[in-house]
Amino acid sequence: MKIPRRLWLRAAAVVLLILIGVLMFFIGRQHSILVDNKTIEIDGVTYKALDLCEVSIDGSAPEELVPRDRIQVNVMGQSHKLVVTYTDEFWEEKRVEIRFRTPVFEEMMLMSIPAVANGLSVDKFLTHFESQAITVDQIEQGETISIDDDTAAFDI
Amino acid sequence: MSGKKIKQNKVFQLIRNNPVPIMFVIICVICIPLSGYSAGYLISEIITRIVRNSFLIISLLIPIMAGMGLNFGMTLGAMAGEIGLILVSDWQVVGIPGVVLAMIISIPISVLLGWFCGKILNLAKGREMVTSYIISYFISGVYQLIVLYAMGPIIPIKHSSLVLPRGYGIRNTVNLLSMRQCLDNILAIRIGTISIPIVPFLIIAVLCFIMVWFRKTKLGQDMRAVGQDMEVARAAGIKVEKTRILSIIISTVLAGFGMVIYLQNMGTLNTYNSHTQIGMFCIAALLVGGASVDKASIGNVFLGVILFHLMFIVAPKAGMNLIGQAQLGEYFRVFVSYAVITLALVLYESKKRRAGTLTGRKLADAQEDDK
Repeated sequence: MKIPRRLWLRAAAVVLLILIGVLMFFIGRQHSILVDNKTIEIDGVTYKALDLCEVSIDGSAPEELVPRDRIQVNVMGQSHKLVVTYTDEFWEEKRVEIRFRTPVFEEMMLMSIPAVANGLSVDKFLTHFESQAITVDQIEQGETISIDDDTAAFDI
Repeated sequence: MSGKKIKQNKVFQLIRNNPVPIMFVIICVICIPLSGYSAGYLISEIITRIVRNSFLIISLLIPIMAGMGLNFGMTLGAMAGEIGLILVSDWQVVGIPGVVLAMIISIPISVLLGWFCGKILNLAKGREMVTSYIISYFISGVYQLIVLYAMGPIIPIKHSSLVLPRGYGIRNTVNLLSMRQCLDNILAIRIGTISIPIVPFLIIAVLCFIMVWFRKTKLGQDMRAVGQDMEVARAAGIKVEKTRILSIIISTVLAGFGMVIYLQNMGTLNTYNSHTQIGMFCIAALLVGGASVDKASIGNVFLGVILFHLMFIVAPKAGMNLIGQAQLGEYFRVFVSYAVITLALVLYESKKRRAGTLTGRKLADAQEDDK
């Protein structure tokens, strides 16, 4: 049986739309990165927090971090550029510039700046983070839906 | 007939053919000085409203072309767009990719709803407007059922910022800050205090060109033929029912896109109410622009958006300055939108009757002459 040309075109249009949708999902996916400047122990080795550093991800305005500081940066897409500028113990200014990728389905990750400064691999300095904090939303006992003529029928 | 009389006649014809736009021009002319707003502020606000609403209003043109009147069923497309935005917000897709993805998600939902609406409207020929109005209420109920109960347990929604504390259902408001005005801010030009968003204007311009082109295509010609006379179109071999369904599907899909553009501009989605008034306000704006139930053009869209929203902007402040109550202006704008639709429908009906009487009279005269 010969498939008509019109059907082929329609199928191609549907496939194209799905592909664009998938592409949009990948390039538009937002990740939250918690940039952390705390002393950390990885594989039995302790990496000390940097005294003062500036961090910029994907060309954003540099943020200054002192020991025990943590900031949240929201990034879009999977491929990112990290720039860390800091002064080492000999008062020499150093600049670390690396590219890294964020897993698609990771929403929140923790990035250790001391690990970055010491040249550790991505899987060491960028780890999954599960928020343990109870948000205001979670302790709210009930949000009332505004009931108008349209929603009145539902027992909310 | 003297030249003066011909001129007077032309003015009278103009007033008789465009009572609604003229009425709005008068209202705006009275309200603008009373409101005390600067010209810069008004222009800036009008530009924002054009960007926000034009796409939605243009989606109404195709059913009018196909003789199906004002498509109150555009609310269905708006709901599809909202579902797209809810899902995209949950998937944390932001910015322009988020807007595009929401539009893509809305397409199958809009097509399905448009097909359903078109099928029903084919069963209610001649009463399309009231039928589509009621369908929009029916589908709004289904939408609320899905959003209140299915989102969470059946359709996975995991973000606590979206889900109600009880564990299922979507909150009253969905924050779209991550995609707010993302289209407007690309290549925006600033002239003094006025910001001109180039990209949304380009999108609207492209849609206008598509509309002009569409009228000349085979399907566009078929729709016009169906709009003029269904029986003649059927005799000419046009599949009337299919053409009418297609017009509603296209309108619903465009309304879905329009709703995404509208909400990305607003930056917040009112889950249960955003779509309810959208059809009414878009139709009112189109009618204010001088369109009627059976005739509308792109010019009507822009004139309507400018006049209708100008009144929206100035009426509350004018009410405040005049009577000391801003609420009067708010009340005024809602009341006027309904009044405009009523007036336009009454005028359309009286015009149709007048035309019918005139044709009858001509026919009777011709029969007299034959005797």
